[in-house]
Amino acid sequence: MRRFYGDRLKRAAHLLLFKRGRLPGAKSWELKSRVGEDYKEVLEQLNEILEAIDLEVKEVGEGEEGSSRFFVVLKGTIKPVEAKMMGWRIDNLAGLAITIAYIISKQGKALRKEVEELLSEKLGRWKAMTLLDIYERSGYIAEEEGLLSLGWRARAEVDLGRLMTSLLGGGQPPSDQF
Amino acid sequence: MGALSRKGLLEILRDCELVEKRAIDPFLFDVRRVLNKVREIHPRLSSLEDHCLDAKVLNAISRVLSLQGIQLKFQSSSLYSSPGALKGVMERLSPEDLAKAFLRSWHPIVELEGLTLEGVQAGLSYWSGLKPYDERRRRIERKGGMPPEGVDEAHLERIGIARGDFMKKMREYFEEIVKRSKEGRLRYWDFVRAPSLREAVERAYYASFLISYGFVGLEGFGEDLEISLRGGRAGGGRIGVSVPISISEEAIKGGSG
Repeated sequence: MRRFYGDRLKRAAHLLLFKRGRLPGAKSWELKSRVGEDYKEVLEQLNEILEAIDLEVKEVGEGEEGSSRFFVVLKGTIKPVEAKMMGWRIDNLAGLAITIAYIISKQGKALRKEVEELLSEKLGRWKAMTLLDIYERSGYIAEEEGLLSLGWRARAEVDLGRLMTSLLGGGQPPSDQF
Repeated sequence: MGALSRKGLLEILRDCELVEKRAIDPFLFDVRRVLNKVREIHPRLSSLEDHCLDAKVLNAISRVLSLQGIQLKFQSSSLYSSPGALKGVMERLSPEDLAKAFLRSWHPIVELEGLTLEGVQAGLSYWSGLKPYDERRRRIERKGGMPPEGVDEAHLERIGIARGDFMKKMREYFEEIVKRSKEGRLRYWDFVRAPSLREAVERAYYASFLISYGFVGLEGFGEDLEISLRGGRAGGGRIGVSVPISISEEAIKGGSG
Protein backbone atom coordinates (compact mmCIF):
# COMPACT_ATOMS: atom_id res chain seq x y z
CA MET A 1 0.00 0.00 0.00
CA ARG A 2 1.18 3.53 -0.78
CA ARG A 3 2.23 5.66 2.21
CA PHE A 4 1.36 9.36 2.33
CA TYR A 5 3.20 12.35 3.70
CA GLY A 6 2.21 13.62 7.13
CA ASP A 7 0.72 16.91 5.91
CA ARG A 8 -1.98 15.16 3.85
CA LEU A 9 -2.85 12.96 6.83
CA LYS A 10 -2.95 16.03 9.07
CA ARG A 11 -5.21 17.87 6.62
CA ALA A 12 -7.61 14.92 6.51
CA ALA A 13 -7.60 14.60 10.32
CA HIS A 14 -8.31 18.32 10.78
CA LEU A 15 -11.17 18.22 8.28
CA LEU A 16 -12.75 15.23 10.00
CA LEU A 17 -12.20 16.13 13.63
CA PHE A 18 -12.84 19.87 13.84
CA LYS A 19 -16.42 21.03 13.51
CA ARG A 20 -16.55 23.75 10.85
CA GLY A 21 -20.15 23.92 9.75
CA ARG A 22 -23.47 22.84 11.20
CA LEU A 23 -22.62 19.16 10.85
CA PRO A 24 -19.42 17.43 11.95
CA GLY A 25 -17.13 15.56 9.56
CA ALA A 26 -16.37 16.35 5.95
CA LYS A 27 -18.09 15.73 2.62
CA SER A 28 -16.43 13.59 -0.04
CA TRP A 29 -15.95 16.57 -2.39
CA GLU A 30 -14.28 18.59 0.39
CA LEU A 31 -11.82 15.78 1.04
CA LYS A 32 -11.21 15.37 -2.67
CA SER A 33 -10.37 19.05 -3.12
CA ARG A 34 -8.33 19.50 0.10
CA VAL A 35 -6.63 16.11 0.43
CA GLY A 36 -6.51 14.91 -3.17
CA GLU A 37 -8.19 12.55 -5.62
CA ASP A 38 -6.84 9.54 -3.70
CA TYR A 39 -8.31 10.76 -0.39
CA LYS A 40 -9.79 7.31 0.32
CA GLU A 41 -6.31 5.83 0.51
CA VAL A 42 -5.24 8.67 2.82
CA LEU A 43 -8.24 7.91 5.03
CA GLU A 44 -7.26 4.24 5.16
CA GLN A 45 -3.83 5.26 6.44
CA LEU A 46 -5.45 7.66 8.93
CA ASN A 47 -7.62 4.77 10.10
CA GLU A 48 -4.54 2.75 11.00
CA ILE A 49 -3.37 5.58 13.25
CA LEU A 50 -6.81 6.14 14.80
CA GLU A 51 -7.31 2.46 15.51
CA ALA A 52 -4.67 2.63 18.24
CA ILE A 53 -6.88 5.05 20.20
CA ASP A 54 -10.18 3.21 19.56
CA LEU A 55 -11.40 5.55 16.81
CA GLU A 56 -12.21 4.96 13.15
CA VAL A 57 -13.32 6.82 10.04
CA LYS A 58 -16.88 6.07 8.94
CA GLU A 59 -18.57 6.88 5.63
CA VAL A 60 -22.30 7.62 5.46
CA GLY A 61 -24.14 8.09 2.14
CA GLU A 62 -26.09 11.33 1.83
CA GLY A 63 -28.76 10.36 -0.65
CA GLU A 64 -27.37 12.38 -3.54
CA GLU A 65 -25.72 10.29 -6.25
CA GLY A 66 -22.25 9.30 -5.06
CA SER A 67 -22.12 11.93 -2.31
CA SER A 68 -21.16 10.88 1.19
CA ARG A 69 -19.96 12.36 4.46
CA PHE A 70 -17.04 11.05 6.47
CA PHE A 71 -16.87 11.14 10.27
CA VAL A 72 -14.51 9.93 12.97
CA VAL A 73 -16.44 7.70 15.36
CA LEU A 74 -15.61 5.67 18.43
CA LYS A 75 -14.69 2.17 17.29
CA GLY A 76 -15.64 0.45 20.53
CA THR A 77 -18.54 1.24 22.80
CA ILE A 78 -18.88 3.24 25.98
CA LYS A 79 -20.10 2.27 29.43
CA PRO A 80 -23.19 3.80 31.10
CA VAL A 81 -20.96 5.76 33.49
CA GLU A 82 -19.10 7.30 30.55
CA ALA A 83 -22.39 8.14 28.80
CA LYS A 84 -23.53 9.95 31.96
CA MET A 85 -20.28 11.92 31.99
CA MET A 86 -21.01 12.95 28.39
CA GLY A 87 -24.28 14.47 29.59
CA TRP A 88 -26.65 11.67 28.63
CA ARG A 89 -29.31 10.57 31.13
CA ILE A 90 -30.27 6.90 31.23
CA ASP A 91 -33.90 7.83 30.42
CA ASN A 92 -32.80 9.77 27.35
CA LEU A 93 -30.68 6.88 26.07
CA ALA A 94 -33.52 4.39 26.69
CA GLY A 95 -35.94 6.69 24.83
CA LEU A 96 -33.52 7.01 21.93
CA ALA A 97 -33.11 3.21 21.73
CA ILE A 98 -36.88 2.72 21.54
CA THR A 99 -37.39 5.59 19.09
CA ILE A 100 -34.77 4.28 16.65
CA ALA A 101 -35.91 0.67 17.00
CA TYR A 102 -39.57 1.59 16.48
CA ILE A 103 -38.78 3.60 13.34
CA ILE A 104 -36.80 0.62 12.00
CA SER A 105 -39.65 -1.77 12.82
CA LYS A 106 -41.95 0.47 10.75
CA GLN A 107 -39.48 0.25 7.86
CA GLY A 108 -37.91 3.62 8.31
CA LYS A 109 -40.97 5.83 8.79
CA ALA A 110 -43.24 6.08 11.80
CA LEU A 111 -45.95 8.53 12.83
CA ARG A 112 -44.63 10.97 15.44
CA LYS A 113 -47.87 10.55 17.38
CA GLU A 114 -47.30 6.78 17.68
CA VAL A 115 -43.72 7.21 18.89
CA GLU A 116 -44.84 9.86 21.38
CA GLU A 117 -47.49 7.50 22.75
CA LEU A 118 -44.97 4.66 23.00
CA LEU A 119 -42.44 6.77 24.91
CA SER A 120 -45.05 8.43 27.11
CA GLU A 121 -46.08 5.03 28.52
CA LYS A 122 -42.86 4.95 30.53
CA LEU A 123 -41.58 8.50 30.48
CA GLY A 124 -44.73 10.65 30.56
CA ARG A 125 -46.21 12.73 27.77
CA TRP A 126 -44.31 15.97 28.35
CA LYS A 127 -40.94 14.22 28.53
CA ALA A 128 -41.72 12.13 25.44
CA MET A 129 -42.47 15.27 23.40
CA THR A 130 -39.37 17.06 24.71
CA LEU A 131 -37.13 14.07 24.01
CA LEU A 132 -38.32 13.74 20.42
CA ASP A 133 -37.50 17.44 19.90
CA ILE A 134 -34.02 16.87 21.38
CA TYR A 135 -33.39 13.80 19.19
CA GLU A 136 -34.49 15.77 16.13
CA ARG A 137 -32.25 18.74 16.99
CA SER A 138 -29.27 16.41 17.50
CA GLY A 139 -29.87 14.72 14.13
CA TYR A 140 -30.84 11.26 15.41
CA ILE A 141 -34.28 11.53 13.82
CA ALA A 142 -35.82 13.68 11.11
CA GLU A 143 -39.44 14.77 10.80
CA GLU A 144 -41.48 15.49 7.71
CA GLU A 145 -45.25 15.99 7.72
CA GLY A 146 -45.67 14.21 11.05
CA LEU A 147 -43.60 11.20 9.94
CA LEU A 148 -40.35 10.39 11.73
CA SER A 149 -37.41 8.78 9.99
CA LEU A 150 -33.80 8.06 11.00
CA GLY A 151 -31.55 11.11 10.92
CA TRP A 152 -27.98 11.38 9.65
CA ARG A 153 -26.51 10.92 13.14
CA ALA A 154 -28.35 7.64 13.79
CA ARG A 155 -27.05 6.27 10.49
CA ALA A 156 -23.52 7.42 11.35
CA GLU A 157 -23.35 6.38 14.98
CA VAL A 158 -25.66 3.44 15.59
CA ASP A 159 -25.05 -0.15 14.54
CA LEU A 160 -28.72 -0.72 13.72
CA GLY A 161 -28.50 -4.51 13.30
CA ARG A 162 -26.79 -4.91 16.65
CA LEU A 163 -29.32 -2.61 18.35
CA MET A 164 -32.27 -4.66 17.09
CA THR A 165 -30.64 -7.98 18.00
CA SER A 166 -29.77 -6.67 21.42
CA LEU A 167 -33.27 -5.32 22.12
CA LEU A 168 -35.11 -8.37 20.85
CA GLY A 169 -32.72 -10.59 22.80
CA GLY A 170 -34.15 -9.08 25.98
CA GLY A 171 -31.44 -6.47 26.41
CA GLN A 172 -28.67 -9.09 26.64
CA PRO A 173 -25.49 -8.71 24.59
CA PRO A 174 -25.81 -10.64 21.29
CA SER A 175 -22.59 -12.60 21.73
CA ASP A 176 -19.99 -10.86 23.86
CA GLN A 177 -20.23 -9.65 27.44
CA PHE A 178 -21.06 -6.00 27.96
CA MET B 1 -68.83 9.35 -13.92
CA GLY B 2 -71.39 9.00 -11.18
CA ALA B 3 -70.92 10.24 -7.67
CA LEU B 4 -70.66 6.65 -6.40
CA SER B 5 -67.81 5.78 -8.76
CA ARG B 6 -65.95 8.96 -7.84
CA LYS B 7 -66.45 8.19 -4.17
CA GLY B 8 -65.07 4.67 -4.77
CA LEU B 9 -61.90 6.02 -6.42
CA LEU B 10 -61.39 8.61 -3.68
CA GLU B 11 -61.72 5.89 -1.04
CA ILE B 12 -59.02 3.81 -2.75
CA LEU B 13 -56.79 6.91 -2.93
CA ARG B 14 -57.31 7.56 0.78
CA ASP B 15 -56.42 3.93 1.66
CA CYS B 16 -53.23 4.18 -0.44
CA GLU B 17 -52.25 7.36 1.40
CA LEU B 18 -52.81 5.63 4.76
CA VAL B 19 -50.45 2.84 3.67
CA GLU B 20 -47.84 5.40 2.58
CA LYS B 21 -48.13 7.21 5.90
CA ARG B 22 -47.46 3.85 7.65
CA ALA B 23 -50.88 4.04 9.32
CA ILE B 24 -51.79 0.58 7.97
CA ASP B 25 -49.80 -2.49 6.93
CA PRO B 26 -49.30 -2.54 3.13
CA PHE B 27 -50.40 -6.20 3.06
CA LEU B 28 -53.80 -5.29 4.50
CA PHE B 29 -54.39 -3.54 1.18
CA ASP B 30 -55.87 -6.17 -1.18
CA VAL B 31 -54.39 -5.07 -4.51
CA ARG B 32 -56.30 -7.66 -6.61
CA ARG B 33 -59.68 -6.62 -5.17
CA VAL B 34 -58.89 -2.93 -5.57
CA LEU B 35 -57.73 -3.36 -9.18
CA ASN B 36 -60.98 -5.20 -10.00
CA LYS B 37 -62.91 -2.31 -8.53
CA VAL B 38 -60.92 0.22 -10.61
CA ARG B 39 -61.54 -1.95 -13.70
CA GLU B 40 -65.32 -1.89 -13.01
CA ILE B 41 -65.31 1.88 -12.65
CA HIS B 42 -63.14 2.52 -15.73
CA PRO B 43 -65.88 2.23 -18.46
CA ARG B 44 -67.92 4.85 -16.60
CA LEU B 45 -65.17 7.50 -16.81
CA SER B 46 -66.15 10.33 -19.12
CA SER B 47 -64.43 13.65 -18.42
CA LEU B 48 -60.74 14.54 -18.38
CA GLU B 49 -61.04 15.11 -14.65
CA ASP B 50 -62.29 11.50 -14.19
CA HIS B 51 -59.36 10.11 -16.16
CA CYS B 52 -56.91 12.21 -14.13
CA LEU B 53 -58.36 10.82 -10.91
CA ASP B 54 -58.16 7.28 -12.34
CA ALA B 55 -54.48 7.82 -13.23
CA LYS B 56 -53.81 9.21 -9.76
CA VAL B 57 -55.37 6.08 -8.20
CA LEU B 58 -53.31 3.74 -10.41
CA ASN B 59 -50.17 5.65 -9.48
CA ALA B 60 -51.00 5.36 -5.77
CA ILE B 61 -51.64 1.59 -6.14
CA SER B 62 -48.23 1.17 -7.79
CA ARG B 63 -46.63 2.94 -4.80
CA VAL B 64 -48.42 0.55 -2.43
CA LEU B 65 -47.11 -2.40 -4.47
CA SER B 66 -43.62 -0.96 -4.18
CA LEU B 67 -44.06 -0.66 -0.39
CA GLN B 68 -45.17 -4.31 -0.27
CA GLY B 69 -41.93 -5.24 -2.06
CA ILE B 70 -39.88 -3.16 0.38
CA GLN B 71 -41.65 -4.80 3.31
CA LEU B 72 -40.87 -8.29 2.00
CA LYS B 73 -37.19 -7.39 1.65
CA PHE B 74 -37.20 -5.82 5.10
CA GLN B 75 -38.83 -8.87 6.70
CA SER B 76 -36.07 -11.06 5.32
CA SER B 77 -33.36 -8.76 6.72
CA SER B 78 -31.72 -8.98 10.14
CA LEU B 79 -33.31 -5.64 11.13
CA TYR B 80 -36.82 -7.07 11.04
CA SER B 81 -38.99 -6.96 14.12
CA SER B 82 -42.66 -6.20 14.44
CA PRO B 83 -43.72 -2.99 16.18
CA GLY B 84 -45.81 -5.15 18.53
CA ALA B 85 -42.77 -7.17 19.61
CA LEU B 86 -40.91 -3.94 20.29
CA LYS B 87 -43.73 -2.66 22.47
CA GLY B 88 -43.40 -5.90 24.47
CA VAL B 89 -39.65 -5.32 24.81
CA MET B 90 -40.27 -1.82 26.09
CA GLU B 91 -42.73 -3.04 28.70
CA ARG B 92 -40.41 -5.84 29.81
CA LEU B 93 -37.11 -3.96 30.03
CA SER B 94 -36.18 -1.23 32.49
CA PRO B 95 -34.77 2.09 31.19
CA GLU B 96 -31.32 0.92 32.40
CA ASP B 97 -31.51 -2.27 30.30
CA LEU B 98 -32.72 -0.32 27.27
CA ALA B 99 -29.90 2.19 27.68
CA LYS B 100 -27.34 -0.63 27.99
CA ALA B 101 -28.68 -2.26 24.82
CA PHE B 102 -28.31 1.07 23.04
CA LEU B 103 -24.80 1.68 24.35
CA ARG B 104 -23.68 -1.68 22.94
CA SER B 105 -24.50 -0.48 19.43
CA TRP B 106 -23.56 3.20 19.81
CA HIS B 107 -20.33 4.60 18.36
CA PRO B 108 -20.58 8.37 18.93
CA ILE B 109 -18.99 10.83 16.52
CA VAL B 110 -15.84 12.59 17.68
CA GLU B 111 -16.11 16.32 17.03
CA LEU B 112 -14.07 19.17 18.40
CA GLU B 113 -15.18 22.76 18.66
CA GLY B 114 -12.37 25.12 17.78
CA LEU B 115 -11.81 28.75 16.93
CA THR B 116 -11.92 29.41 13.22
CA LEU B 117 -10.31 32.29 11.34
CA GLU B 118 -13.80 33.61 10.46
CA GLY B 119 -14.80 33.48 14.13
CA VAL B 120 -11.73 35.42 15.22
CA GLN B 121 -12.29 38.03 12.48
CA ALA B 122 -15.95 38.49 13.49
CA GLY B 123 -14.88 38.87 17.13
CA LEU B 124 -12.22 41.47 16.23
CA SER B 125 -14.63 43.52 14.16
CA TYR B 126 -17.21 43.48 17.00
CA TRP B 127 -14.55 44.52 19.50
CA SER B 128 -13.25 47.41 17.41
CA GLY B 129 -16.81 48.75 16.92
CA LEU B 130 -17.72 48.41 20.61
CA LYS B 131 -18.01 51.74 22.47
CA PRO B 132 -16.43 52.01 25.97
CA TYR B 133 -18.68 50.67 28.73
CA ASP B 134 -19.06 54.04 30.50
CA GLU B 135 -20.25 55.67 27.30
CA ARG B 136 -22.78 52.92 26.64
CA ARG B 137 -24.01 53.09 30.24
CA ARG B 138 -24.50 56.85 30.04
CA ARG B 139 -26.58 56.38 26.90
CA ILE B 140 -28.77 53.78 28.62
CA GLU B 141 -29.19 56.06 31.65
CA ARG B 142 -30.09 59.04 29.43
CA LYS B 143 -32.90 57.01 27.92
CA GLY B 144 -34.39 56.64 31.38
CA GLY B 145 -36.73 53.84 32.36
CA MET B 146 -36.34 51.19 35.00
CA PRO B 147 -33.90 48.31 35.10
CA PRO B 148 -35.49 44.85 34.69
CA GLU B 149 -36.83 43.38 37.89
CA GLY B 150 -38.97 40.41 38.97
CA VAL B 151 -42.69 40.84 39.53
CA ASP B 152 -45.23 38.68 41.29
CA GLU B 153 -48.76 37.83 40.17
CA ALA B 154 -50.34 40.51 42.37
CA HIS B 155 -48.22 43.15 40.66
CA LEU B 156 -49.17 41.81 37.20
CA GLU B 157 -52.84 42.03 38.17
CA ARG B 158 -52.34 45.57 39.45
CA ILE B 159 -50.89 46.73 36.14
CA GLY B 160 -53.62 44.90 34.24
CA ILE B 161 -51.53 42.19 32.57
CA ALA B 162 -52.85 39.17 34.50
CA ARG B 163 -56.47 39.08 35.58
CA GLY B 164 -57.06 35.50 36.66
CA ASP B 165 -59.18 34.77 33.58
CA PHE B 166 -56.11 34.24 31.44
CA MET B 167 -57.41 31.35 29.30
CA LYS B 168 -60.72 33.12 28.67
CA LYS B 169 -58.92 36.24 27.51
CA MET B 170 -56.59 34.20 25.32
CA ARG B 171 -59.57 32.48 23.67
CA GLU B 172 -61.15 35.89 23.00
CA TYR B 173 -57.98 37.14 21.30
CA PHE B 174 -57.71 33.91 19.29
CA GLU B 175 -61.30 34.32 18.07
CA GLU B 176 -60.52 37.94 17.14
CA ILE B 177 -57.53 36.78 15.06
CA VAL B 178 -59.68 34.16 13.32
CA LYS B 179 -62.34 36.78 12.57
CA ARG B 180 -59.97 39.50 11.35
CA SER B 181 -57.56 37.33 9.34
CA LYS B 182 -57.75 37.18 5.56
CA GLU B 183 -56.83 33.83 3.99
CA GLY B 184 -55.59 32.68 7.38
CA ARG B 185 -53.17 35.61 7.85
CA LEU B 186 -53.23 38.84 9.85
CA ARG B 187 -50.49 41.47 10.06
CA TYR B 188 -48.95 41.32 13.54
CA TRP B 189 -48.90 45.09 13.98
CA ASP B 190 -52.55 45.41 12.86
CA PHE B 191 -53.43 43.02 15.67
CA VAL B 192 -51.22 44.58 18.36
CA ARG B 193 -51.95 48.24 17.58
CA ALA B 194 -54.34 49.75 20.15
CA PRO B 195 -55.36 53.23 21.37
CA SER B 196 -52.99 53.06 24.35
CA LEU B 197 -49.53 51.56 24.91
CA ARG B 198 -50.85 49.58 27.87
CA GLU B 199 -53.50 47.89 25.75
CA ALA B 200 -50.98 47.24 22.96
CA VAL B 201 -48.58 45.56 25.37
CA GLU B 202 -51.43 43.41 26.66
CA ARG B 203 -52.33 42.33 23.12
CA ALA B 204 -48.68 41.54 22.33
CA TYR B 205 -48.45 39.61 25.61
CA TYR B 206 -51.42 37.39 24.73
CA ALA B 207 -50.23 37.03 21.13
CA SER B 208 -46.91 35.67 22.43
CA PHE B 209 -48.75 32.96 24.37
CA LEU B 210 -50.99 32.09 21.40
CA ILE B 211 -47.82 31.66 19.32
CA SER B 212 -45.87 29.73 21.99
CA TYR B 213 -48.78 27.37 22.63
CA GLY B 214 -49.02 26.74 18.89
CA PHE B 215 -52.54 28.07 18.27
CA VAL B 216 -51.14 30.42 15.63
CA GLY B 217 -47.81 30.82 13.86
CA LEU B 218 -45.56 33.84 13.34
CA GLU B 219 -43.90 34.50 10.00
CA GLY B 220 -41.67 37.21 8.53
CA PHE B 221 -40.02 39.98 10.55
CA GLY B 222 -40.11 43.71 11.24
CA GLU B 223 -42.90 45.53 9.43
CA ASP B 224 -43.91 42.33 7.60
CA LEU B 225 -44.54 40.18 10.68
CA GLU B 226 -47.68 38.11 10.14
CA ILE B 227 -49.78 35.95 12.40
CA SER B 228 -50.68 32.82 10.48
CA LEU B 229 -53.53 30.48 11.39
CA ARG B 230 -51.92 27.63 9.45
CA GLY B 231 -48.45 28.11 10.93
CA GLY B 232 -49.28 26.93 14.47
CA ARG B 233 -47.33 24.00 15.90
CA ALA B 234 -50.25 22.49 17.86
CA GLY B 235 -50.28 19.43 15.62
CA GLY B 236 -46.85 19.71 14.04
CA GLY B 237 -44.49 19.52 16.98
CA ARG B 238 -41.88 21.85 15.43
CA ILE B 239 -38.99 23.24 17.43
CA GLY B 240 -39.71 26.70 18.88
CA VAL B 241 -37.46 29.72 18.58
CA SER B 242 -37.48 32.92 20.57
CA VAL B 243 -38.49 36.06 18.64
CA PRO B 244 -37.91 39.34 20.50
CA ILE B 245 -40.25 42.16 19.35
CA SER B 246 -39.85 45.58 20.91
CA ILE B 247 -42.99 47.66 21.36
CA SER B 248 -42.66 51.42 21.59
CA GLU B 249 -45.20 54.25 21.44
CA GLU B 250 -44.00 54.98 17.87
CA ALA B 251 -44.67 51.36 16.92
CA ILE B 252 -48.22 51.63 18.19
CA LYS B 253 -48.86 54.84 16.27
CA GLY B 254 -47.81 53.34 12.98
CA GLY B 255 -45.69 50.36 11.94
CA SER B 256 -43.18 48.27 13.78
CA GLY B 257 -40.52 49.35 16.25
